[in-house]
Amino acid sequence: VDNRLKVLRAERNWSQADLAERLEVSRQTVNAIETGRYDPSLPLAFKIARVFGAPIETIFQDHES
Amino acid sequence: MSQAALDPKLAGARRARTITMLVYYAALSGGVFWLYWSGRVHVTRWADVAALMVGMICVLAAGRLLYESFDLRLLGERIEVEGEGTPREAAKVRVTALFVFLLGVFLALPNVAFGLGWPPGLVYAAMAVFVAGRTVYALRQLRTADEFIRRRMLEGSLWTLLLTTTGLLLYGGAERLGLVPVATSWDVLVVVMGIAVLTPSFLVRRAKPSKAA
Repeated sequence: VDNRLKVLRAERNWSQADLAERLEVSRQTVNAIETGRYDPSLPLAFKIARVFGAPIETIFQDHES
Repeated sequence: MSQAALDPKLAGARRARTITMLVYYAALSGGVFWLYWSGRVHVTRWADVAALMVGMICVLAAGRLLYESFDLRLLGERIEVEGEGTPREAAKVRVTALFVFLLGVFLALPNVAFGLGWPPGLVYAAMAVFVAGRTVYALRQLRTADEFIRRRMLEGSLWTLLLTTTGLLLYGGAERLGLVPVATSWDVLVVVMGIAVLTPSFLVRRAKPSKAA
């Protein structure tokens, strides 16, 4: 699954620590998602969508589709 | 282009770490060989040698973690985050380093204690205290970890379980048939701990991103 986390974060001028705090996860988790090493669970993906105020499908895309 | 190539300070910190670790490795290896050749370590079978080797790996890894916890640039790279590590992250890594170090001591202690003639009851009491502390630490880690960290921990545990049970199935069957020598619980412990120590580092290497975030 591809994601636009890094772009969205940069648009808001947030650091990984800022986003991690908002998502209540570690910085390692944010970094792992951004670098594509980890696909978040559905609850975390929805939380990410809420934090960015964007539909989930605009943040995460299935690279096979 | 790597992060170190972009950041000369990080490259310098890496060089300093390499030199410090080489000195540390040499000193520790020298100490272990001295203990062995001076007869202060009681080594009777392959598992004793393996225990010393795994114990040494743990002590070396703990030293490296501790060193990195005092350099926030290296710490950031170690824990795979953007920029430097924080003092809170450094404190967590130091606690991990302590338990990795103690695991190394645990594995070497029976051989050293036997060689030095320390009272077995007292040595065993110290080992039991470590086991209790390690159990509490591992459970706390699992409870407080977020989903990514927990998945990493579980993945390491799963691979360890798969490898050790496969080995036990094969060895146990062969042992019962009289094809291989009888293994003691110490032999099994050393192999299991060796796999448990080495598996996470292989998994982390395998999961490294092709480019930095």
